[in-house]
Amino acid sequence: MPGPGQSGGPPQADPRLLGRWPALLRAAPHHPRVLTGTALLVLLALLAWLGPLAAPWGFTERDHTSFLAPPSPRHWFGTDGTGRDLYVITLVGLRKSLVIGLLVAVLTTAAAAAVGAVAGYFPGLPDRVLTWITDLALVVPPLLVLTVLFPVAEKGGWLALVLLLAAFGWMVTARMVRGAARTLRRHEYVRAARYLGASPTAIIVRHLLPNLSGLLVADVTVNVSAAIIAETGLSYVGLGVQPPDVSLGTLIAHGTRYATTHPWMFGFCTGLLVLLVLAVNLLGEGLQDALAHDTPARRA
Amino acid sequence: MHTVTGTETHPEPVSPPETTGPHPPDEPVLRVDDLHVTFPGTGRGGDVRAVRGLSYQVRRGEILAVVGESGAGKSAAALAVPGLLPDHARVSGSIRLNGRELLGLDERRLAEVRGRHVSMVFQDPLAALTPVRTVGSQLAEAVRLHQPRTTRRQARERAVELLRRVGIPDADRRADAYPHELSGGMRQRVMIALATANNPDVILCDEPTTALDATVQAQILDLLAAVRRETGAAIVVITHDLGVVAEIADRVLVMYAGRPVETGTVPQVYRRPRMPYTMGLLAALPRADTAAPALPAPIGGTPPDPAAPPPGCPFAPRCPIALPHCRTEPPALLPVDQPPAAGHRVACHRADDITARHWGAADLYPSPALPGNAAPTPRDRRPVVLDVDDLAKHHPLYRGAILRRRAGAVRAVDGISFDLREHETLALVGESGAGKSTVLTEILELTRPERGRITVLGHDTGALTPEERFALRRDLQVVFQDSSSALDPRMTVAEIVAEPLRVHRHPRRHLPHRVREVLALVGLDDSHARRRPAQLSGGERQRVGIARAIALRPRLLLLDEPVSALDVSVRAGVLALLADLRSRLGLSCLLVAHDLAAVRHVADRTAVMHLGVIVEIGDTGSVFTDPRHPYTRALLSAVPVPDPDAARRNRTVLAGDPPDPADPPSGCRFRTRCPRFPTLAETDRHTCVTRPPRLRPLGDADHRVACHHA
Repeated sequence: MPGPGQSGGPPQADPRLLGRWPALLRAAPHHPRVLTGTALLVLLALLAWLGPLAAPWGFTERDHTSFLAPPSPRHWFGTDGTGRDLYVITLVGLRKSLVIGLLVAVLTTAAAAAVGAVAGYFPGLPDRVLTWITDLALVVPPLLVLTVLFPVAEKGGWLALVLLLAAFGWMVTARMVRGAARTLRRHEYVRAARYLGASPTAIIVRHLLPNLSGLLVADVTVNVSAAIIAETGLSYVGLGVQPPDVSLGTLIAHGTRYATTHPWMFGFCTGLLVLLVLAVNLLGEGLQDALAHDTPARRA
Repeated sequence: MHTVTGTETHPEPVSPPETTGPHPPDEPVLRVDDLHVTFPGTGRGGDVRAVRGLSYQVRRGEILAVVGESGAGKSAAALAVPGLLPDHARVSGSIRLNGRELLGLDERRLAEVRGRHVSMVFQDPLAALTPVRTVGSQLAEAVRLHQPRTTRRQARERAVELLRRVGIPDADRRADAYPHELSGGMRQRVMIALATANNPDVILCDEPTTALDATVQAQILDLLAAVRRETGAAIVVITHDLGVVAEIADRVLVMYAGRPVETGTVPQVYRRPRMPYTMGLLAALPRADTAAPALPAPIGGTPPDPAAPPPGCPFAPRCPIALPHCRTEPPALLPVDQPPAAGHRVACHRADDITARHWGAADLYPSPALPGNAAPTPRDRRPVVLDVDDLAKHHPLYRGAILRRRAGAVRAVDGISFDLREHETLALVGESGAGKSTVLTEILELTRPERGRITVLGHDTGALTPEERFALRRDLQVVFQDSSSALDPRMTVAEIVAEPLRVHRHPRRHLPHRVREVLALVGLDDSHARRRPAQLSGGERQRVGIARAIALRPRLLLLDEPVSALDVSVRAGVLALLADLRSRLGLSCLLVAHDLAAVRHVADRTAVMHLGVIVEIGDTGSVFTDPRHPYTRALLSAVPVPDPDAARRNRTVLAGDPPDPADPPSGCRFRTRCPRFPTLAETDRHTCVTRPPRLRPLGDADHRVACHHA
């Protein structure tokens, strides 16, 4: 075949081919919101793991001279009813919540994306089976599942907790992804890929998911705070974070009672949660923006 | 100036209108002066100057066509008249209706004007009609809005009368139909009924026939002419189709990049265009009526960015005869000829040269040479690359919400056979619903069809293993119609073109080189490779779609309406590209199109489909010059011709809509609309009703027709 690129015309560089996902994410690291969000997350992580080292108090140590004391140079965040240093336990709680929140959010969305995209792409039997499972998961009361799974979950530790939390959160998003995938499936570029001979996996990974990335990123963002709060719910039934262990969720749940009388019991842990959610939101919005740089001006 | 010279081509004079307005009959009803429309830019983008100094006037009973390509500002100019532009648009200039200034009127006063004095017909009647109310009640509402004293009963009667006037059969019953229950043509008739409900002075039609099939378009154009005749309203038709203009308009105004560039009566502008852009548009138009083997001539380049229009003549960057000062000084719209011809004005620095040297479109835009196919091997000695035998595809129809049961089937394709030889282009033409695209899809699936047999490059699709199917996909590629939905919006052009290569496991290190090579073949370069589909023009996007299709060096290319979504000036360029690639790469093509004019220029053979069956097939030349099937004749006659002399000829306008493909008529499926059927003798008619006609050859020529009485 004649290749005019070689013979005539000014010499040109071959285009750079980065691959599907790298090309998509190339712009992300330069986005200011992505940068701010990531920096804030890293700061929070540093604070959670290194912060307690700076305090003179240990996690299990109690100061029997001050109960429910306000913040002071001795106790930076004050103390709780049993004399524990709130600075130390809040940061330890932040550790748990960071891990649980981020992991659960990513897992939930990943499960939703997988189920939804497969159900949406394959009409017929796979769609019916997956939709049926999704609907079943929506109507089965979580408490029932908990009772059944309690022995397993109790032994599994925090990993079991993460899986359990993720198992309760994926259904609604899966249905949304399924609907969107069904629409995308009819797009001519998906048909074109199919007629090229691309496998269903390739089509889902290369065409469906990138075009759903806005929805998925938004879902992760929302799921982070939802997971942190949901985790407190689990600790009521004896799963999840049990005393003396703490998480932001349990601290907030516990501190709510003191919100007006002893605001430091409530304020610091809530403040950190707000910061965490803010960081995740910034990161999410930035990613959405970076992924959508092709769409003409979405903001007026 | 007196401008209604176009009436000479109309046998019936414009009836003297009953003057309702307080103006003397000679005055224009609508007068637009120096109209500017600007959409403030968002964020980084500058202000979009959609209309930049437009002036025109229309008299009663006159049809003015505003022509331009997408982005020319014609829709913004039209929407400005009834004040329907979005609030943030800045509008200046003057719009006078019966001498009354409309610009600056408040919303309440404008609402009184809308519908009563000015009404609009939109392109997509399904979107313009409320889906949850019957068309009758929408019409009755329009009547009662402006005549509050009408009773419900009177309004209903008036609605039925209006529906009858726009040619809707069984109007009394149809008034109770919801918009989705009507066909596209019927809906557009309802829109026109709605627009004429209060006998407005001006009717603005925004691309009134663009979404319709050729035969239905012809009906709607006739209806608009009748509306003008009966109501005496001034009609402004906004369109991109020069054929439509020639069919119905008296005067034409050509817009480019927000400016009027040429205006005059239709004969003046079509016979002797003076603006290179108008000439280019006329040259770029494929013609169904001429036996030209040459391709239409493309206009190079793309329209300017409306956010940053060039300082001089907006067309200068694409103009083949632009001079240096064309790029710096904007030309004024001045009369042509000495003494000035009535009404013919043009905005071009070189208009005098064009007049003096008698330049025509062919001088400025030489037709691209058709790639040499000097001594083709005779058809029967070339191998068959695609063979379709008795293919059928029925889409089941279900009824009932809970217990879904099969209630018949849409017989999209009902037993068609054809073959495609190497280096040949076969066009499948027909109206929407004829089953053309279903044929393509069935071939592309490469699976066993519901009925019949498809053989692609010697492989029976019913007997393929997955590996063989994958290998065969390399040789069989497709180009889709809508280039914006055919390309993944999140991928760069380079990635899109690399995708087929990746799927078929080309060595990684050769990828970039091959991508550049393929992009160069379709006339794109490195700067395009990095962009995303949204950053390309329509023509460029379609080139990317073609590049993706030829990246694997296929032998058989299926084209699904490859140019119908493109502007006229780029359409010709893509057609030329396809013809060039076909001969360079030795492709065989199956082309699906409803645009008969384009088909004539690119196809070797043509098959006409009607309701799932082929009614006529043969060499393109003989099908177009000697059509034997009455449907082919009607289709050809319905294609608007960009020639005012030929346009107002005797056309065969088919009555009614295509029959329901779920319940096709017995025997010959065309008999219900066939113009010949009613003239036949009783016994002959009986044959049509009872026996479905088969394709039979006509003489020795490559020409077969499925009609009992051809």
